[in-house]
Amino acid sequence: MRACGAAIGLMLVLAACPSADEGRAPAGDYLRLADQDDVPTLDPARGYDTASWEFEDMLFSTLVDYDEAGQLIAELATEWEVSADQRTYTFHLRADARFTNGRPVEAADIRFGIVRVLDPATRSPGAEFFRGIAGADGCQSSACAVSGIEVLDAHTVRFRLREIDPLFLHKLAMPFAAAVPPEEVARWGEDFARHPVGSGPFILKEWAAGRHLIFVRNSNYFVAGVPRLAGVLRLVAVNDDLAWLKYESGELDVSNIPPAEFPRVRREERYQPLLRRITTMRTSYLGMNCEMAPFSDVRVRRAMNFAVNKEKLLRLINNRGVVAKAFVPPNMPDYYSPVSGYAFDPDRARRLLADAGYPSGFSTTLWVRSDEGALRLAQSVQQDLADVGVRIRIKAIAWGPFLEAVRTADLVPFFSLGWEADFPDPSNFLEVLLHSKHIGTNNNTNYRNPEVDRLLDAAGRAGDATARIQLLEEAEARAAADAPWVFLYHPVTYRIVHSRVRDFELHPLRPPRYNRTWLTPQ
Amino acid sequence: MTAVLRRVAWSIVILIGVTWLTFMLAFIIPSDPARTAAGPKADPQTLATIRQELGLDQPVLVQYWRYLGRVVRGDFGRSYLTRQRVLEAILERLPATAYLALTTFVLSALVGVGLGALTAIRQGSRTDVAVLLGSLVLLSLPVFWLGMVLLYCLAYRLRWFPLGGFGVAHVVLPACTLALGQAAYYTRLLHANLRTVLEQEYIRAAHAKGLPPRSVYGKHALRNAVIPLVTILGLDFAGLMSGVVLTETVFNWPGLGRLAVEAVFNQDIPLILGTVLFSAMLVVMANVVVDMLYLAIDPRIRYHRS
Amino acid sequence: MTPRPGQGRGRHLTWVGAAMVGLFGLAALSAPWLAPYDPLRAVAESIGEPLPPGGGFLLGTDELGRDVLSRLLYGARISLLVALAATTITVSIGVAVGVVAGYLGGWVDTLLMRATDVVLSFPALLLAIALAALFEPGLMTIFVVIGLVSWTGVARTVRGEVLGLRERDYVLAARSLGATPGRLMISHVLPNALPTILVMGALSTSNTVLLDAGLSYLGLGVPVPTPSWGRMISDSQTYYRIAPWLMVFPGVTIVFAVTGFNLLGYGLLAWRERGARHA
Repeated sequence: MRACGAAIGLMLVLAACPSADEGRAPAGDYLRLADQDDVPTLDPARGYDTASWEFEDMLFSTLVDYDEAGQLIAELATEWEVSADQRTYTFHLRADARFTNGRPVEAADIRFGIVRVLDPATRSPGAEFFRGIAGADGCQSSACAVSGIEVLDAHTVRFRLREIDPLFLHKLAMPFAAAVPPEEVARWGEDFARHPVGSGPFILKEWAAGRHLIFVRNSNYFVAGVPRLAGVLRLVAVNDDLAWLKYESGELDVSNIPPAEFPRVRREERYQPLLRRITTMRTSYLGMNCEMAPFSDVRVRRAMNFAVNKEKLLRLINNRGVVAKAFVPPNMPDYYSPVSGYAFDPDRARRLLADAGYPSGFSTTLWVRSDEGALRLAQSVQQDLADVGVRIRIKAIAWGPFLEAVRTADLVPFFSLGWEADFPDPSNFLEVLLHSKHIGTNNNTNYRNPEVDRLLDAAGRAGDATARIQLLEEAEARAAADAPWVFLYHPVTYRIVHSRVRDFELHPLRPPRYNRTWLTPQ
Repeated sequence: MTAVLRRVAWSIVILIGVTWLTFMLAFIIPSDPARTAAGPKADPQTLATIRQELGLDQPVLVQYWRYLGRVVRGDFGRSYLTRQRVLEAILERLPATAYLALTTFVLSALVGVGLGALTAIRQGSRTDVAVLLGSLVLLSLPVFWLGMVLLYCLAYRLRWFPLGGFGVAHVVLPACTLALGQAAYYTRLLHANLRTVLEQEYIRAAHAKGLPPRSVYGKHALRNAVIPLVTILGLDFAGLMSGVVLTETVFNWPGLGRLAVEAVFNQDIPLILGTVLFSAMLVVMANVVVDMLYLAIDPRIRYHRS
Repeated sequence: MTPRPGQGRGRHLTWVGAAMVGLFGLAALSAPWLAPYDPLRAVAESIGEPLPPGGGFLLGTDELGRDVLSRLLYGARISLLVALAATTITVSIGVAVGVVAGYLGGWVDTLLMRATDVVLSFPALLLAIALAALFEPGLMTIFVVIGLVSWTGVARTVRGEVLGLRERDYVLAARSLGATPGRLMISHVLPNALPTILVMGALSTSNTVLLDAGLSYLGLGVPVPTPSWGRMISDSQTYYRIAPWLMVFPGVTIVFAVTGFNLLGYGLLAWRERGARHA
């Protein structure tokens, strides 16, 4: 009896015993990455976060892609034509692209991918990007035949749009538009997210949930010489501290720099050649619900902007950011934001509040993601606002319910959020976040200004690029004066790499790409 | 035999109670499962359809019956976040927790029994008092703090151990963290039991017979004191799980405890309830196993049977 | 955790325990006067870089420039409040269940004890975080959640005590005089179970404080920026390598408070044992 128990116990232990080389890269040039959270999904129709996109990029291909400078280049497509009225796009696919199950990539696969995104059953967050395609607006309540995507032959696909969309090519560069094999989706169903099959430079070899993901080179990738790595190992459940220590002991190739280490790393000589930094196309802000008192009064909103000390916030994040003057980040190509921003001026804030009828301030609730960094910032803001008489209660909730709450009418008066550009165009900020037709989706502040709407609509129709930019600049200036946001900062991303890593660059728009990265032998 | 059957029957009753309690948890949470399934932009029509599909308009008992049916078939629902089957996600993480739990158990049993015996033998001495006081303080330590302190001192400062993550060597610090608290508890229990046992007649008789001390203490006293410990083991499995949740978080150990914390952090309700249910079922089964062991090794019962 | 008898010694530690608890209570109550700074405001210019103990800050500052000592003192208030409120709920439920089950016996006893077994099967912290996550965060939630997961130990011990008490002479006498079960339970059984209830109260409080610290550590305790010891520890993790004091001090206070309650509880238990032996 006792022997029995002991034997069972021993077997259990042996079964559970991790293998000795757990967490160490397989033989060959594997790039070693790590992060705290597991990758949520590898299904290109569902992923809409940096972690998912980073690896979906590696596994799937789209018609067009971005190069290191953020310019659009061909990927699956060899060339394309745009009609004179700019509403029809015809793409010619390359003949040598294959899925990792062996079969060639065809135009029908592109169509399948996008139709799947539009299908409400998939619940894809990317559906709204493709509603401009003819026949796509009927996809509200059931799967539909999107007539605007035509498969002319095995290697030609044509898109017909309902109206001009200067950003359509950018939308086709998103992982939502990746070529997806229908037979694999049919085979795996909901589990396709964990068993993805694509045509990209890497293949998913192993996904041990909560522990690691291993990707290997796709030797049949249609671009010769790419990728240069044998594979990528992405560890999970490694927090910033642990990642740093692993990096220092040479076990990681790329790492974030934890706040505790950052001042030292910035100062010491030996780290400088290994640092990579990029100003992201992202703006962190505090949104004020323009339909809820007291934020319905523009003076109150401006007062909040004057009351928050943004330089102090930057010190909290080791100065890894640039103070935001307005909506659009300063590194947006071909765009010069005309707004001068709101300086830190508590006296002016108090005067404005008094003018608006709140001489002794008011109370409200700030909704925040339950994330340590976000909460720290919220507490700093809380102190600043308390100085001008605005008493804030901080409400922390998880990301999913947070987004849902922000989009519910009359619920959230004040919230902390950020917006990252999906593509390098100012309208991706201004129209998506400020046009009244987007109230209920991404216009979370319920901002409504008919003049701004008119300017944005005109910009959407403008054929001439210069005129378009001018209209957008004017729209931004007006909206900034209305201050539906407390503009905080644009984050700057820092990474540090192992000395053996070559050709690793951060991308302003997307998670890092590893196609060209290689490792020197040690 | 009847004792065994009776025990198993009661366990099934308790298991059903456990599923009922978990089901009631799902019932009383404020959010609307139909809305969560449909997404924020669904219209009332869609909501009504989904409500009917999920059977949310049925009476409570009917819903519970369907829920029980699904649970028995292993369908714990799908995670909101990753859409993975909850039971699959749990079973993926279970080996890591099992490894940690077993290592902890071995460590704490060895230390606990050893120290407990030591103190009982040397009652009243300074060692005795020191160990008892020390174990009291150990019991008063928050396990996550103990873990962090050990991590800082032994892994970061002294570099004796790796800093979190998963692997054979990586289990030492988390297991020690958990084991210290458990060992403290076992030490005190064993001490109390041994004292009672040592005062019993038959021990004095064994002394009088001139048996060597090792035989007296080892064979008779220790064995009789350890037996009640075995039952406490099963009970303490629930306590161990609680400690596991915190320890896995501190050391980034990819087990069931961390899964539960991540689920809570993401408000992933099916996953939260699934881990809660699964853990409770584990506890019930652990108790049954322990009771069987107890029935098997308790000499008094064996004596009655033979 | 069910306390085991047999330790008549150790009752002297009750005084030490009582002193520690007293100190904790005193610190908590007099925080507004003792705390040198406002716990919610940045009082140092050191945003982003915690200051070590020294200078004007006895225990240093955190990354938001707030004084650690002041936060610890105000954190004691929260801990005390949670401890008292949650323990009250725990003991109330536990005593109610234990007395009813122990006194009435029969199927009521079986039903209540099996229900207790069901609740006991859930690991306390796991159940607590599930409940805390599903409801609005706040003080009330914490009281209720902790109370709901901790009552089982009290119930079992009290039931055991009542089983013994109900056969005592005065109970039998009162019953023969026609007193209703309810009245018997409240007027005769309950007062005599009081010593056990006190012991369980002290031991429960130590568990409550630990459970609250665990919940706060996981981010499910009192909402930020109200200082709470568990939260201070989890916040300290980002900076522990350059500011270990942020991690050490809140932990020490928790250990202090919990040890105090444990000593008090085990000491009282030893008193009872000694009393029981002499009886």
